Amino acid sequence: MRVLIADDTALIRSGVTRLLQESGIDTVGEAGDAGQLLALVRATRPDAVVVDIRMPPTHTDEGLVAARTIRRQHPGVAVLLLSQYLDSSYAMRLLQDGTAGVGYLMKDEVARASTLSDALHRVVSGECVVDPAIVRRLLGRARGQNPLDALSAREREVLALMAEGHTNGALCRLLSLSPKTVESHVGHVFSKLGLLDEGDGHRRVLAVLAHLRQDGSG
Amino acid sequence: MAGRAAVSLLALVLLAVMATATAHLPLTTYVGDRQVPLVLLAVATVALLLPPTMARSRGRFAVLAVLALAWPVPELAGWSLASLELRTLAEATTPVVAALAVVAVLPAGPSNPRARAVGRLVLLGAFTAAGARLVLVDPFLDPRCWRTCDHNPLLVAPWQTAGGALLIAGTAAVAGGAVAAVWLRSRRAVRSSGGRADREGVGTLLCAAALLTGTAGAAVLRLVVRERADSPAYVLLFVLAQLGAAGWALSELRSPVRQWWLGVRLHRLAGAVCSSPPPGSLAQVLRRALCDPVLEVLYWAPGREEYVDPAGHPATPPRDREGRRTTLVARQGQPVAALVHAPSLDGASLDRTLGAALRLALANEQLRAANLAELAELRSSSVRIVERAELERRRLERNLHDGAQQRLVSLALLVRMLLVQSSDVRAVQLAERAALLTRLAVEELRRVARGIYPAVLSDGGLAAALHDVAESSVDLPIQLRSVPQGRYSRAVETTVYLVVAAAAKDARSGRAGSLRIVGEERAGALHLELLHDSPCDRAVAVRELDDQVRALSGVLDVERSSDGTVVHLRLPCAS
Repeated sequence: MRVLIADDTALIRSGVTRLLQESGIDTVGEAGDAGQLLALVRATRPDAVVVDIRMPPTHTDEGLVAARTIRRQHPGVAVLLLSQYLDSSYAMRLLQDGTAGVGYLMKDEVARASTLSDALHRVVSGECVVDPAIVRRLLGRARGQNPLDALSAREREVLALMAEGHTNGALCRLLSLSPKTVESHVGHVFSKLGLLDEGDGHRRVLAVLAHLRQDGSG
Repeated sequence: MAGRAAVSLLALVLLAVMATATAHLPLTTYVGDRQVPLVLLAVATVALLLPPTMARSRGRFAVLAVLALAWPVPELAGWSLASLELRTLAEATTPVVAALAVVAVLPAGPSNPRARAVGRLVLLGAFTAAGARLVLVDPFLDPRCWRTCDHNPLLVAPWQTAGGALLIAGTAAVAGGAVAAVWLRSRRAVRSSGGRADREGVGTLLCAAALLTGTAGAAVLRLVVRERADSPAYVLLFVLAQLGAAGWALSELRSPVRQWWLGVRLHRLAGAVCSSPPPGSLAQVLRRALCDPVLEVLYWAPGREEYVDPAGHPATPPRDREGRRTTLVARQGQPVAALVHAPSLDGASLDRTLGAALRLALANEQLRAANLAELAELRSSSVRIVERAELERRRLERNLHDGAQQRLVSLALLVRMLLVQSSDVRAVQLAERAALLTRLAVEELRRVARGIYPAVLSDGGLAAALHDVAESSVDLPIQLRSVPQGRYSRAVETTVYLVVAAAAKDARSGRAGSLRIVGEERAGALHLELLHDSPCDRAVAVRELDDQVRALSGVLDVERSSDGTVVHLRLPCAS
């Protein structure tokens, strides 16, 4: 797998590069800002890019804008956005153009064993990745009338994994369940939340996240 | 006054003599048996009687009065049925009337030496020509005469050649003076309207040109062609002269009449001012009084040493610009106001006409405008303070995220390397603890940075930031019923955010069951209502933001409601 890294701190770029080397992933280039990144993507055609959300010149959301540009101009390049923000609004902005091959990961998670390489493998294979911390925050928020109370513990697990972007196949693997059981759990979750079952497709992540972002006040 | 009376008396006597002398005659001018030329003559004569009443100097009064009285003489007294003496006298009057018309049209005022020189030359030429015609020329003695051949009964000396030469020279001087008068007048009209010809100026100029062409042209024509009532050239010049005279006389009246009308309205205005018009409306009152819908009144703000508009906003310094003129109004030697008005209004006479009451009213408005200016300055200064505090928050947040946090993440990566490369069990344990501590530090840092300034507020706007406040709340359900979706100034967005965050804090400390937020943008302001079911006296954090809200000209109210506390926030957001 060939990967590009964009971050304005050289120390982080080299750290991530070495981390990926251990997992057998090649870094084909490093960029310090969004302009450099877009030029490198055109030149090297990587399988994926890892982009920091804050980059020069304003250090706000340049990385997010660059990531969406790459998805639009080079649909074959998967994008993994590293962010400091737990706010789901950033993740929604990244995912709104399409969830296939797109990931939103908290930056402090990159140092965890295999988190980064797992996420990269998933986005390159066309999956969507949403950081579990963001999903935990959405599930844990205080609500007036909480529709999640109707879910069993297993169903909440299934809901969280769906929100993180996992497919039914991954659910079977992660929960050690048969495909049939997983399908029945998913069906229950959707009917209890009053949602239309979008199937195993890419729209499911957005539907689940959008539902979780509502404040449950009706 | 005595001079005016004497001249008027003399003119009246002249008219009376002429009327008596011609009373027994049938009307024998261009009229013939037609009435239209008579009506024209009558209108022009009456119109010319008006300008003398408005004359500012004695000399001008004399010129205008004599012109008015002599105007009908050549037409009414000069025709075939009158006595020979009267006809000769009338014919001699022709260049004098033309010369008086030239002097009347010339730009008035002592500041115009060229106009004065032209006036003297023209009068000299006219009297020379008239004198020569009266006493030196007898057409009957001219053996070559075949045109103006009436016998001159007033002849003193039959110096035919010298008289003819003087007649021609004098008439030429009058004709030259007429051309010069039109030229000087047109130059002044162009200058006073700032390079652009206005319709009124052009009208006056055309009338003056018609008047002078009619009178001076007829004087010249008489030297060449015998005057006949049915000659098309004479009829044309007669009509031109009458129309021009009437038009010019009326246009001369325009400025004094307007001044008089202005005086009347200002007087009435002074009455209105005494009954104290609503503050800030004096400019509107002046606009109506002066019939100038775009008139501007600027007030001198002594504290700021600049002019401000009635609402206290800084204004461009008043000065004459294209199509507008400025009149400065002072009171007891101190500048009070500046009126920027149409150029047709004479600034000096406007200043004279302003009554004491109006000056006082202007001074009152000046005080008000100056106070408003001070207030506006104070407001913008407090807005700047809020903005600076907001910028400082953002700077701190950015430093934490882009400095400390980046280093901590780098550190975490290094610890991770250490973990991979170390084979010593003790070292691995230590490295794992270091990794955990680093992660906790990053999380802590993120929470601190977010408390200082939420980046989502500048990236996504108020709606996104409020959404996040609700999303991050694990103990207090926060319901966003409606949220203003627009982007507003940083100070406004930050202040609303802080009020919501403070209300959430108060609700938590009062163990409220929920916080409900209803907000909308209406009439240039953000309106927010925050309801929670904890006691009103617990709303401490929100009350601390009162000053910040006031600094942005907003209102923050905390009230007891039937089921707890309701916070009302109104914040102007017009950019």
